[in-house]
Amino acid sequence: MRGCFSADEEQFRSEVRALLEEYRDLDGFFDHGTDAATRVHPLYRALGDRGWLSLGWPREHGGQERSVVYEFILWDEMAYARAARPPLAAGVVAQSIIGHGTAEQHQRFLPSIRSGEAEFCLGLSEPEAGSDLAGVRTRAVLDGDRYLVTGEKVWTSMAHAARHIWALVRTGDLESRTRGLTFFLIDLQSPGVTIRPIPTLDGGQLNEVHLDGVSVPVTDRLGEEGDGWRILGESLVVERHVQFVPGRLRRDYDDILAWVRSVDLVTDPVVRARLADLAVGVDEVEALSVGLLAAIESGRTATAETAYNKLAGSRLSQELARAALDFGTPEGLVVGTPVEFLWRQSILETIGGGTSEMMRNTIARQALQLPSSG
Amino acid sequence: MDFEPTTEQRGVLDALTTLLARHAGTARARTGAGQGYDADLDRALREAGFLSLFGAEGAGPLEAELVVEQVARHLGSVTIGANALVGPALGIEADRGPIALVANPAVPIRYGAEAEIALVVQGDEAWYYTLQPDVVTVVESPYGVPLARLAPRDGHSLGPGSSGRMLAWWRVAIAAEAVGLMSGAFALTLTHVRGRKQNDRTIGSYQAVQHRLAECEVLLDGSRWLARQAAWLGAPEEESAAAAALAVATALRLNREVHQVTGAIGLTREYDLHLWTQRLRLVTLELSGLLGQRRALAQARWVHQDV
Amino acid sequence: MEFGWSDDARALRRDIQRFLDSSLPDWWGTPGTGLGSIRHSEYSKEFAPKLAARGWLTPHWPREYGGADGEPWQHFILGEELWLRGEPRGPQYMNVNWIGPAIIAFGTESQRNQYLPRIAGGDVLWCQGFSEPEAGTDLASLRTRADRDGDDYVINGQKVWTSYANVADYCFLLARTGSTEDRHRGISVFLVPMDAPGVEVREIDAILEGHAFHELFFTDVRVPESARLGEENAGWDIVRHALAYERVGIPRYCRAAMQLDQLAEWARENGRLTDPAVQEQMAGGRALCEAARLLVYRVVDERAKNTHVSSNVHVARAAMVLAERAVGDLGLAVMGGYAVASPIDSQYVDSVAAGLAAGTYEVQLNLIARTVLELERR
Ligand SMILES: Cc1cc2nc3c(=O)[nH]c(=O)nc-3n(C[C@H](O)[C@H](O)[C@H](O)COP(=O)(O)OP(=O)(O)OC[C@H]3O[C@@H](n4cnc5c(N)ncnc54)[C@H](O)[C@@H]3O)c2cc1C
Ligand SMILES: Cc1cc2nc3c(=O)[nH]c(=O)nc-3n(C[C@H](O)[C@H](O)[C@H](O)COP(=O)(O)OP(=O)(O)OC[C@H]3O[C@@H](n4cnc5c(N)ncnc54)[C@H](O)[C@@H]3O)c2cc1C
Repeated sequence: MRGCFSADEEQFRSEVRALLEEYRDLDGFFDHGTDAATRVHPLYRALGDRGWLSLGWPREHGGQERSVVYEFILWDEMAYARAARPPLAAGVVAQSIIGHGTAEQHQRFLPSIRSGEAEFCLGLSEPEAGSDLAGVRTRAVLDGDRYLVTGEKVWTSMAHAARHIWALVRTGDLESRTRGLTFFLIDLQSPGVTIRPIPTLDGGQLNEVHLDGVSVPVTDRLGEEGDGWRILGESLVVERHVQFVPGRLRRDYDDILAWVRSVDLVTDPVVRARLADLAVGVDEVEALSVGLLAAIESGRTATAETAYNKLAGSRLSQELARAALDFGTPEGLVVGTPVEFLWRQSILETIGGGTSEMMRNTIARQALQLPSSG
Repeated sequence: MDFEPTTEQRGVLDALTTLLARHAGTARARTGAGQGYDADLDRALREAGFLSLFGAEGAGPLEAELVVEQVARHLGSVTIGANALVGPALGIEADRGPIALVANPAVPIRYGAEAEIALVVQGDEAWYYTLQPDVVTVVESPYGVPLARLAPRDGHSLGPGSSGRMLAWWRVAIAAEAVGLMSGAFALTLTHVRGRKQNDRTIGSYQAVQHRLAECEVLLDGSRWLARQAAWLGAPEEESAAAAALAVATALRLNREVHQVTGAIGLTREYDLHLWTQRLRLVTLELSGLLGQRRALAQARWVHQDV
Repeated sequence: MEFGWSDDARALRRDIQRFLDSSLPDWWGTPGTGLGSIRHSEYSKEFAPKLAARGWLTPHWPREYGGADGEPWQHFILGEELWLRGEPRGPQYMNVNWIGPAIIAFGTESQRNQYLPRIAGGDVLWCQGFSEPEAGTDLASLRTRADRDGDDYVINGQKVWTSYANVADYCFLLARTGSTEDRHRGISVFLVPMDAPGVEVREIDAILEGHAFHELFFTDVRVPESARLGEENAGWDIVRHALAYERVGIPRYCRAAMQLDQLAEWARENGRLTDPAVQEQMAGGRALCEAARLLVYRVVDERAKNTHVSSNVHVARAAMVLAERAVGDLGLAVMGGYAVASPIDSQYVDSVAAGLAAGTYEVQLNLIARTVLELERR
């Protein structure tokens, strides 16, 4: 990606690298086991101290109003170092609070998000609502100045480490689909909340969050009743530039190349041909990222560009992992080694954050202008 | 050419299904018996004669191959491919105990610690070793199948040329086990996509999902018949390598697709899918994985032919 | 379950190979003379009678119509060996595979007497008039009409992509006798002489090497009622029956496998066969060809046992397309510039066509999803 960034931006990149020097041994990018959240916490705090968790926020809320490029550089470097992913709170959650929260909510939540202290998890998916979020069933019923919330969220990353859940909840009747949805910022320490871990194949965990008549003050509702779908739509584009950063792919590629060199496979023509394909793939995803940044800078929603980026990136991450296995590394069989882990981890990427099929549907409709089959 | 099982073959498979209903399956694969080596299943299979079909009167390698498919499909935690196909092809009697197969000592071996015998490819010869505990290094395994590295001592050669026979039957065993495991994973996936609704439609009604699964079906079916053919023909070098090459390529693809279309639930350890897919991954890596299988096929078809 | 060949089958293969060695002309296999070219089609009228004389043209037909009541395997082995040599039966492979059998199954006694002897004799050419500009995959929306006029039908409309129309004596034509709303229930089959007044053929310039496509126009073409095959509006069943076998009627995998062997020769001569990357690609193609072969055999086995057509035919067809495509792709990848105007390059073009003709690849996948995997149509 040389030559794509201004001197200021490159300067920022070196500052990020300098900070990362201090966190060399931190491996918080992949959710290696269940204490990842605790491990990356100090780094988030350090980012907060520098104002780097609020790079793009408006100044009135303590942000720096910098362009999306800075956030991209930050998280791309973090990914290359495998240090950490963007914290959920500072992205979608903060943006939705800034856009739709009351003054009181701004004061209550934004400072601790900015400093890297507050932890949120995202409560969207439910057992019956995965790709189809309009099918959310968790219900909130108004009772005086509080809502009683009952239902089940599932596949919730980091719920075990978070204090709040940013939850999409039904306030209308079930048939209201997209119209009757509302966001709440629910305190996970409230009575009636139970969190159950779900172990995943990559050795990490997702969670089930059961809400059983949880009493939530009206002041924890985000926006008006029925605003949920609109807030969700806006939020999905907030993180589009850091949703799949190419740095992680570059890193996987460099590691595989180093391994191939170390075992003298680098002269094998099959291996060379595969490596060449993969190298082109990494370049491609980098180019797509730059294209995405440019589209966002020019003020477009860039829905199709986002889908290209996610689709190409997540697919390449699987190809990288598979190549490593195909090259016959015996390490591939051993738990905890990078190659073995890469593989297990990469199969999550085409599902979480919107499945590849949904990305293809988006591309077909938005970019290729094909009709929807309904 | 006949693609229908004979009455005898049906009989064998029915009896096996009954046995596996008791001694294998998803629930058992999660218990102690299924996580280590399932000695009860091993004994039951042995006593009922399922491990001696290879050279039996009225049966043969094809019947043995069918048994390997079924045991793998039902998640039997035994060295089924090695004991039903490879061992017998090298003249090792069924009652000698679990067999580990070794081609590259650097690679962890399935059931390395539980096996009593190791068969090792050494150049042109296959070597026979009786395993002692001190030659075993256990390796942690996320696959639902225990792994260990072996450095066996004091064996004997099974004669010149025996490694070719061992490798060919090993490839048939890989193909058969992969086919069995894929069948199990695929069946569960189909049930899932037929029942799960999003946007008021079953996800199995989306063409994007249908076409991937249909391609998987084509490749899986092809792998199944290639494996059976290779066994029936007595594991010629080329046909065995073709069976393994297709089964392994298909496994890599199918593994990907079944996880994709089951969504997040398929990635959890609570759901059964991983019981098949994790085991499948191990099988696909044996004998240098896909590249190894394909090179063997190319060698057999186009290189060895004219030496 | 077993995967061997009988001694008879092996002997038959050898005999056919010997016969082909001695009978194919010198120009055979030169560029531009392949299946679908005029020279190839005309030659079939010389070649097929020789096959007929040996009892090899219609061995699987009933005796009373010029066959030998042979089992499907015999006919299938013939198909493999002939296809390997570029299908010297030309368009007549359709005659013996499905046009003749459709006439046997659905024709009147007089239709059988009229058409079958010439087909079994090997000197008549047919073409298939199904596709139309607005009716490709969705054949049930075809618009060519056949309207009754006294004892005759008058046919008006247009067909497209018709192979062999330039040389054919007859067209196996699908036309609408009911209303458009009747969809597949309003279609009948007609056996139309190509020299009937009002039939016009125009060639379409295409990228298929040597193989010509045509447009076929019908303007007030008058045929007697006796040209209709089967009942009025019952054409759909005839087509389904006929095409079920046609999907595996051409053993495409065996030519793809042969192309691979020839590619291996080329690679050997050019010092590329030891390249592991070349070996890896070629083996991937080989495995797919072998899988397609067995999956097609399974269909032949079903046919040999009970003439019941199961959905396995779609699996077999899809497998053939996968195998052909793989060989086309890898052939170009391995040969690079040397592939220009080589048989591998035609293999590539053929493999593109294979995904379209006889029901597109996507249609096969749809059918597998619905009938084999039992997934809902939405
Ligand atoms: C690692 C990971 C972390 C996650 N973290 C969170 C989190 O923190 N918070 C949260 O709320 N959720 C989280 N999720 C859940 C994630 O958002 C869902 O898994 C995703 O939306 C898909 O839903 P599903 O798993 O129910 O699959 P389903 O919706 O059941 O989909 C199954 C299959 O059907 C396909 N399909 C569905 N609809 C269509 C269509 N219209 N066209 C074509 N194909 C279709 C899908 O692409 C997929 O292949 C996480 C998931 C993963 C894997
Ligand atoms: C070499 C060759 C020879 C031929 N010879 C003859 C002949 O002799 N006589 C004759 O009548 N016809 C002939 N055909 C025509 C052939 O039968 C048609 O091309 C075929 O039926 C497809 O129709 P189409 O070309 O109109 O494509 P379309 O029907 O327009 O299809 C275009 C694309 O859309 C896809 N598509 C369509 N419907 C669906 C669906 N429901 N789901 C998913 N995808 C879908 C198709 O798979 C295809 O990829 C020949 C074709 C070829 C290539």
